[in-house]
Amino acid sequence: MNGSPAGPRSSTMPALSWLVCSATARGRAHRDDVPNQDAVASTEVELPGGVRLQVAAVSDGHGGRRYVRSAYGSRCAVDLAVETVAAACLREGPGADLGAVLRRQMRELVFGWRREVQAHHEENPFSAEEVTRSGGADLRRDPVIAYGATLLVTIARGGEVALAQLGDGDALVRTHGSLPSHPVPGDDRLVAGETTSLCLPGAENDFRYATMAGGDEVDLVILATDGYGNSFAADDWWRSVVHDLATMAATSGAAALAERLPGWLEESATIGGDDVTAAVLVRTPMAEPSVAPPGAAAPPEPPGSTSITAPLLLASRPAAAKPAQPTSPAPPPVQPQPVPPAALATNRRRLVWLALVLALVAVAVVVFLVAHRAPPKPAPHKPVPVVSGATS
Amino acid sequence: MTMRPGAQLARRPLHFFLLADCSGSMASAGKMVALNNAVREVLPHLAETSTRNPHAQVLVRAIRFGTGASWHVQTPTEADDLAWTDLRAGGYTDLGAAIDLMAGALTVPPMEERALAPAAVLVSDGMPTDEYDEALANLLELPWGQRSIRMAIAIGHDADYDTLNRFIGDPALSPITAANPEQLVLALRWATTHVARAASVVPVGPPPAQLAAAWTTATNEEAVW
Repeated sequence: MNGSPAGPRSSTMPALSWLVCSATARGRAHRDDVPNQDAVASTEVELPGGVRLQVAAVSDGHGGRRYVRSAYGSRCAVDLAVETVAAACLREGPGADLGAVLRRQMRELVFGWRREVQAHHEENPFSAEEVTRSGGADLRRDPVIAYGATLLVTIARGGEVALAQLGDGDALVRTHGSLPSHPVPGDDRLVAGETTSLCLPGAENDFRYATMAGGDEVDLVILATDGYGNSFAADDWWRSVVHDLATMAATSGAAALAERLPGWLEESATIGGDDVTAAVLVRTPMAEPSVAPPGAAAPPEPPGSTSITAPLLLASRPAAAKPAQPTSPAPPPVQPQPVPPAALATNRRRLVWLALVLALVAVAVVVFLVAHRAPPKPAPHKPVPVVSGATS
Repeated sequence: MTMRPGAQLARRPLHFFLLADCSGSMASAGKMVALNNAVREVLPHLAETSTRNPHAQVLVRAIRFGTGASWHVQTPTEADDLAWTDLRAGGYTDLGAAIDLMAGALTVPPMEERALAPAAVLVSDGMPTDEYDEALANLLELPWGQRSIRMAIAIGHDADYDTLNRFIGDPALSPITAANPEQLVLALRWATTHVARAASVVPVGPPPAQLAAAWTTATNEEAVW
């Protein structure tokens, strides 16, 4: 897990820091001869003035037969993303507009990625085995396609987060201490397993972006390949994932989350069958639940994107078995963080409210039962004794 | 908190469609009886395919087509929960109507975002009597239609192999011919298992030699159809 303390926001506010944990698991539906085609990378950037930020990237190499080198493509994508974004943040300094940084760097990244995979192909022509594995596809017509992959990138600095996404997968955040959100706009073309890709012409125009300002109090970011979301039964799985991860981070610490993340992703890779990769960024301290400003409360899914006209890639992704690739080098262990006093006070308040509510419910039940009890049976009628001869 | 975050994990749905020719010609030589029997024999194998697959939950639907087409099993149903009602023969061979009906189920919604590629097996003994070209083209325009894994079984040698090949849409595969009830069981069993496993990307092999022999005229088995 990487940590990055940011500069203090004020002399009375605790410094915000970000911890990153990540894991990846090979899909169990894959053929034995195909490796894990996902990749993940992250880095911490130290800027002048003690400001630090985290950059993380996740990529999903396409699983169709012709994408015989998508594992290399995804690895190249995340390494390049983290390297170029970090370098840009260093150049632009502590006050950089994170959203603008991502927009510029993603455009450059697409060209850099293409150059790199083309160079890799020139040094390593496709083998006979790869041609066979591709099912007879003409790999040499456009070698870049064999390396095709998606990409999700984030920069986190203090309470600000910027996101960029190309293709499928999920970029999730929690804002205002309680609101799960899927802030990156959708893309109507992403249906039936089809996805936009780094290997498509015009990929630089296919990125979608989202920026969360400091006022949004983002304290959790999750980047995940689509294998994770596809393993859940419910369409709105992401709401409970954000809530549960945030709760765990708040109560048990980010280190506990980091320890358990690989196992969780293994389960998803087993049930869903696809490669599963996630990077989770946790802010310390986490945000207190607060009233969101108008327009920020429980944001609905953003509308489908837009005027993107690049052709779709039919990236049909039958999961081919892939031997697991190592994830990014394990970060140094981090001591579990004590639960902040503010969080404890919040938990106590919640318990008190819960107890009050339960008591009110119990009283209401008792009142209901009493009001609707069967009326007592009337006593049998006894004749009034009459004195003989008496008159009124 | 020690539990896994998020909601319940679940296998991904794999929607399987059987398109059954119920034209008048299927009433002859016991073909309709054989098809119904074959379906009943194959359902347990399809159920086993689903049970053994840790990633895919196979959900079965069936479309009958004769004069027009209609749902025979409309609700996606697990194979071992499916109580098969006999199909009855009569009418024309409106394959296009059947394809249109299936295409309607492959739009989004109702197809789930997390679904696996749908699978379909067409069983027919003759030539289509409606304009199926347009229906097939419309099906292949749909993202889920494009991704669907399709197979076809010819009952007897009067089936329109060109149509069946176009339905399959894979030059590496040919329709399977069933010349008698036993071959129909084998053919249906292989075809349903093939498409279900291909859709969930479990490696599949060629049809068994016994079945391949049905494709040729040189066979020791009695050709009923």
